[in-house]
Amino acid sequence: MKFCQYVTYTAVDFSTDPFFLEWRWFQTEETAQFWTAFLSAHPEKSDEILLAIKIVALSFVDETISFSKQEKESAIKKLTAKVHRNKRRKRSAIYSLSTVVILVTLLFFPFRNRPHLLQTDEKTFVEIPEKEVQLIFSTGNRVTFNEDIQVAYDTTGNIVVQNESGKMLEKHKSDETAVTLNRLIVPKGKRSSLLLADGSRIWINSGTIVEFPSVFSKTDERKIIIDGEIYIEVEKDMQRPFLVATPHFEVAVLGTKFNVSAYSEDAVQHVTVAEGLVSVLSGEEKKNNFVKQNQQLRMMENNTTINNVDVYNYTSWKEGILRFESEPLKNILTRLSRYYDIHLDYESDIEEIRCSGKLFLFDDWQTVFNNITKVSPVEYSVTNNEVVLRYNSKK
Amino acid sequence: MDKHSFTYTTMEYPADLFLKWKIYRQEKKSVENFRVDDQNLIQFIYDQYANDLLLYGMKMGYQKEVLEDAIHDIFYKLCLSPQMLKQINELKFYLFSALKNRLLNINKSTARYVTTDIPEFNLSVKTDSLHLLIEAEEETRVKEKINKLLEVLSDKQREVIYLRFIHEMTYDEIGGLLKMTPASVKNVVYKAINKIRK
Repeated sequence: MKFCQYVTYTAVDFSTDPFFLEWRWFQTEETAQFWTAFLSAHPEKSDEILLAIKIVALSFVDETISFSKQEKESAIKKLTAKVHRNKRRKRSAIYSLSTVVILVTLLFFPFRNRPHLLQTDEKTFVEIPEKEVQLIFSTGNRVTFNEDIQVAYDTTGNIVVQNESGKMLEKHKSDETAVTLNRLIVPKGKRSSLLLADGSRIWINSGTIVEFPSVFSKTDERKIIIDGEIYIEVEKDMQRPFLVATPHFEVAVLGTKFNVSAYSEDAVQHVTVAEGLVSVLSGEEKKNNFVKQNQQLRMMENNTTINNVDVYNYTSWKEGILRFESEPLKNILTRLSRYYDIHLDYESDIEEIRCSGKLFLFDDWQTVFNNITKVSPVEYSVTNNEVVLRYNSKK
Repeated sequence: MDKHSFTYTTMEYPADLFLKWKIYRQEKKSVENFRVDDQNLIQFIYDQYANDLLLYGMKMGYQKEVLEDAIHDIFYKLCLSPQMLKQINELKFYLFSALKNRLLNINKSTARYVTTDIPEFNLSVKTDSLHLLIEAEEETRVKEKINKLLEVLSDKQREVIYLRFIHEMTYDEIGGLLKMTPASVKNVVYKAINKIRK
């Protein structure tokens, strides 16, 4: 009957078709029957229809109208204060004393309890004191490597692990039905790369944990979880947005290249976009920020700023180069400490010294530190497995 | 720093407190037991629904400042008699109708000074979030086409779409909100369907 008219429809056509909208908006029986019948007659259209359903669902979402976190918090405070006043007026003198006690607890209780509320899905992960790269499969099997590795998944979920020079180290058939994620742990002093089943490519910096599925779901978003720093080139797939979740924010994209630095122990976290557009969702409100090509979003506590930057300064680490412009020495030292897995000790007087230049990380660490002492007024010495840096006023 | 652990939160708001409340409502424990939880619960409900209420009010054509006050009033009432929570079955429906009543009252009290316009129900496609799914040109196409369909409809019809589709309310609930019988809500729907099919 009417089926033939829809055979050539794309997702956008469906999402603007009155009969399709009638089904989504009002869920009438007639339309429900029609579209289920259509789907079983034309299963090849299921992807388009699923996408159309998502488009219609999202079309009325308006993120520009909302209360900010501050507005909500001050509203709750106002509310509690007003209730407080009202109750005090009503009660007798002796009774009011106990009410005050209760209300003071009430005033503080919600705020104390807040983080708990938001973190019920809390997971505490394993330690990474190890010096070896670890790959933990969804089955619970664990393989360790004492060199930098390249992990590649093909579309069917087979895993091949190679070392830097291309030597095969491990081959594995994964369990496609597994719900749990695989975990790749790259300790300080090591780097690795990962090719995901959908073709997206990830470079993983030192001291980073990545969690990812062997095969992504055909219909849902593609989601990975990280703590640390990665550079990722996402394979374009209009139907399945790619999500990178970090402890403090999430990045949603369709097909772009960008760098995420989100070490949970760092005060500043940033997302730098090399190509395309990403959306960063952060805070309890899941506030949405768009970051365009050649822009960087920096997050410090709850402040986010977006600036134009030279992207290469933030992505060059994957080529073994560290380039920086007027960067506080503190940040450079943190990166080097992770890269070489060495413990650094320094006083705060050298933290804010600004440096510009380029360091070649494939040199050994002594060479790199010698170079630092040449360009900035510091000197270093080695004691008890620690590198001690000191301000040197003579320079 | 040789220990390394991390936590993350999911996209969804945890609903366990909500669940606790539902269990509480069924078991009807003593009010004393519920006291501290109450405050948390009201805060939780505020967090959860304040934006929904704001959006609904904005779509009815009210200013953000007016709505902020109205929402404050509703929650104040809830704080003063939290035992009300025990009787509420559909929280979202309760809050929506409380907001509507509150806004009507505000309208009445200011009517002396302001000429009352018939409030419009503004439902239109926003493209903020669509870019994750489709290209920019397709986005504008979807926006134009759906908005054109919505323009044909009456305010009431748009409001029914909003409540039914976005908030998944039943015809009974929509009827309660719009002061109509469920049958006449269905009627509104059929008329809307006829209009968009043309």
